[in-house]
Amino acid sequence: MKKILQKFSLYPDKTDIKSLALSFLIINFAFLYHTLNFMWGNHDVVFIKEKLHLSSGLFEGRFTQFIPHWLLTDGQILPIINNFLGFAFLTLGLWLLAKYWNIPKKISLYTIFITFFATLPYTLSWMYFTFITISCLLWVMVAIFGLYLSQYIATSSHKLFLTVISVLCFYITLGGYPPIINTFFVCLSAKITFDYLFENNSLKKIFKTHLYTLGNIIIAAILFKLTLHLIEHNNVYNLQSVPLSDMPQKFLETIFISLKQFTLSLPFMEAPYRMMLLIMVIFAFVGAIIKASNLGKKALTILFILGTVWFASLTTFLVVPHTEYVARIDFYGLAFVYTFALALLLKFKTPLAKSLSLIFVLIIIPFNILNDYRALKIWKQGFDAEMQILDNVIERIENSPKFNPDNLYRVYQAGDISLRPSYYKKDYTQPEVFSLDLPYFAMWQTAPLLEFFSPFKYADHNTPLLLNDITPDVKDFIKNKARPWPHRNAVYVDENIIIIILSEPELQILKEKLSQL
Amino acid sequence: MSSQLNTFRLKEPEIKLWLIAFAILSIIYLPLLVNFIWGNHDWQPLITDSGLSAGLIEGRFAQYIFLNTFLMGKILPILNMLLGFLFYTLAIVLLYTRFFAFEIQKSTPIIIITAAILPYINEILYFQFIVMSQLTWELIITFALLSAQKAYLSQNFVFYTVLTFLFLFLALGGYPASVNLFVTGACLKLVQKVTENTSLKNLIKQALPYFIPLCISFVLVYVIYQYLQHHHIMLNLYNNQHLSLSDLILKILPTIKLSLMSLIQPQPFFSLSYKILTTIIIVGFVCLEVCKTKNIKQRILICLLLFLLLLCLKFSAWLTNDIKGDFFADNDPSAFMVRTDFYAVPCLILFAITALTKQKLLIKNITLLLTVTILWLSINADFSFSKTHLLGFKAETNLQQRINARLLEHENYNPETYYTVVQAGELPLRHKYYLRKPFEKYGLYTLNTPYTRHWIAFEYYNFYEPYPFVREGTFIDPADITPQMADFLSHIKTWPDPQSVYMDNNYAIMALTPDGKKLLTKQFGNIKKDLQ
Repeated sequence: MKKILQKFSLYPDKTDIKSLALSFLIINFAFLYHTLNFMWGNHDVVFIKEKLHLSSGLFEGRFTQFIPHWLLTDGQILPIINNFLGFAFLTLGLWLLAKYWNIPKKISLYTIFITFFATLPYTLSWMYFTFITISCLLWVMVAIFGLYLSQYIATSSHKLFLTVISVLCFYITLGGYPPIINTFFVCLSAKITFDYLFENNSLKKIFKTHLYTLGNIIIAAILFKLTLHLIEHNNVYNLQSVPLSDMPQKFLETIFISLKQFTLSLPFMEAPYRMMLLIMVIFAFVGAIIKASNLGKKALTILFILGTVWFASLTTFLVVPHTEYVARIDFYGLAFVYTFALALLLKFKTPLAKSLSLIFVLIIIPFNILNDYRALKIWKQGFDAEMQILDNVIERIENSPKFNPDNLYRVYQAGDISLRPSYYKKDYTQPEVFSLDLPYFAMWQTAPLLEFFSPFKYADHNTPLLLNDITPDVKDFIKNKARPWPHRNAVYVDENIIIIILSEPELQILKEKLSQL
Repeated sequence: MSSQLNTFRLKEPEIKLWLIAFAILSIIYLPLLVNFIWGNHDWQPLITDSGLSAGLIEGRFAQYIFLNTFLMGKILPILNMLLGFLFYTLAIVLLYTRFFAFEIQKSTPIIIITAAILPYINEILYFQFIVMSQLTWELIITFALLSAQKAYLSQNFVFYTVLTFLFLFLALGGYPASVNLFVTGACLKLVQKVTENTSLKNLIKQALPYFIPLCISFVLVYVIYQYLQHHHIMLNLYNNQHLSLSDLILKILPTIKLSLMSLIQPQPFFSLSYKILTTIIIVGFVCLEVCKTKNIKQRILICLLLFLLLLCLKFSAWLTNDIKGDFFADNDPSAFMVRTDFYAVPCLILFAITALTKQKLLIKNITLLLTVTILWLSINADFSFSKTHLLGFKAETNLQQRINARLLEHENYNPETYYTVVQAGELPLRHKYYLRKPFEKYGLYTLNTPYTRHWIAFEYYNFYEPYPFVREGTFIDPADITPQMADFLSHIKTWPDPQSVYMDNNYAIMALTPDGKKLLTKQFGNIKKDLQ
């Protein structure tokens, strides 16, 4: 094993181990408040109480999504371990990326490189839902491992073996979360840029080396598509690909999107912070162009850089749903572009570049950590506030004279209240659902949430309101009495159903539905 | 330049001591680090940022400098407290190794840890909005002491004296009571110098770099206070009352008496046995210093300095004025404020223990035994504080949730209206989780104050609600008193009675305690008389 690892320069020496340990500590510190306060998102309720099954992701075509959980924790979502494992995989993945991109080997540089990416607030977007934290952070490691191995195929005598392993890496990660394809191409394109600029490799050699990687990704993508045809899935929104005829138009749109993404401010990534990142990117890219020795080389460098930036929006190009500017997608794309810029600065040998990279990391990494803590504080306050509403709703249900804990109630919740935004007071141009807007007390999770802390099992998890449930009394309640929370008429209980009204627009929709009956 | 930098650079043993103290302190307060809870003034600052000028209302012009420098003015969980611990433990280590220049021995980690975790820190941890700055002033004052020490014998006397002034002025602008550390440290340093056979002339020379910046800083702070009060920026509050020069002279002896009393007065989280043990250490140290020298002049000088030390321990209490009959004068008198003792007593204990451990083996061993006992009692007290803080907060926020639920379910509640909440009485619950020991007194912020204050009801009534429903202000306009409200106020019951809550289109009124009810009924009676 040691020999194999040494052969691929993967056997960690003291520098590797120290930088890995240090980075792991810093990353854990950045998200410590989340690790210590076991918070979960609105899809996690049942999984937290019970467990994840291998098949839990099949309905949306994510056939490998829960393999890591199944192998590591028997499908359970466990406090502390959930984050520790996720961060361990992310740290290892970024260490592999540092090797893949040939970052100068120093404890300080490796640590900066790893912690810069991992503490970016994009990582937060994988922490709102606990059921995918481990897998979605692991995919980074597996994908980069696939890229790392692929680069050896051209010169190795074990071509088939390496091909199979790397195809498997790409296939598994696509099966877990398809937007990982952004990572494949951003990292590969960046690698080509580095080989061209810093290793002085000829285009022919670069082409020969990385053609295998490209081939492996394409094979994996085909296998992924075939698998989707084989498994039973619900044709949910996120599986729809752009038809070939629309691709030219979408290509042009994606160019615009890939450039605009640098300028938008998001929750916990406000304009000054984004500006700082953009300045770093501009310095790095201009430096790369200056470094290219002649006009032809400069033109190619620009092309590679633009290609890398465009690949950060590859998913947006490939699928119908709007995935642009979504933090969890950008985690696999834009965050790697920022890291690519940092890597360029770290690789330049001029004193100016070294000073610049030092200034940028000294500003950006602490700001990353502060932004993470700001977000986590607000998450906790929002979580507590929404759980208080849940408590109060349960209290009203249990206080209702018609409530009988032995009955099985069909539950309807009209609307939800998201309270994280109440604690956030900054301006942003691009809303971000996972970091800020999604509610914990969500309308599609009412039944399991009502029972989560309750001694009784009274909510029917499978059946929605039936036509028979709309008695004259219910009709009268909805039409004339119902008011949104916290009004005393926000909760209705009879022998068969429970209705909770949390928002006025959803109440109006309910009234409209009723009038159509 | 590089040799100077080398002098300032921390040595490896110092870094080790610092990290050990920091780690232990962090572990002891892990319950409070993990569970982010806050005091009664923190509700609003938790949501909005604290700007640089936020402390001007009580004259604290430098209070928010560090919060803005390190955390963008935000109160952030874990980071807020950890940064404070980091600076505070560094201060303790620097006091030991640099200012008092004690040699690092095997027992040093125990002494440093003991000084760092003395329960005086507990009161500092109650308010989140000042926790980092309060802990950081300890380091800033230590820097002031170090530069004052450097001024003597230095060619740059003026430079170091000015530097001392700047550090001291900054700290006084953040929290005036942090001066206790400066004067206590300076006094102990002079005691140390006398025992090293320093002549009186030299002693005065050495005292000047402490004395001059102290006087200038206070004059400047006084001028700033006058300016702020004149422009109505600063309020005339209980904690910024000051005395005339003649009153100060008259107050010296009463302050020294209070200083002696506070050494043995048990307070919440400072049991009698704890106070006795620390007093034994202090008395032992005093005896040691007096007996150390046979020169009668030196003995007199040491006695005078030790007498002065008693005043230094309560320096802030000496300078301020408790208004007779005021709530704070009765419940939180300045001579017994744990948060002001935080700046003086740990420094004295650190010095006293170290001085005693340098003596004969028997004295050394007894001192170490006492130190370990104090350490253990401190650990218990600190965890006990965390427990009461956590449970009290939980109980009071749960109660608040129930009060809000009752208001929002009230038949007169209208989601489109903002209400003036008149909450008569407060229900602090922390004390329920603490068994008071005999003779214990005071402890307003360590144990007694509630997490909600009725005059800022809008902050906590709105905090967890999806739609704010309470407006600022807590007074009933007599013109708004309807017959229904008058009827309620005449027959008001206390919480949780169904008749304890009143709501109309404008007001939400409730009596949480019998005392609150009494007050409300009395006020209503007066209004009724006026109206008649």
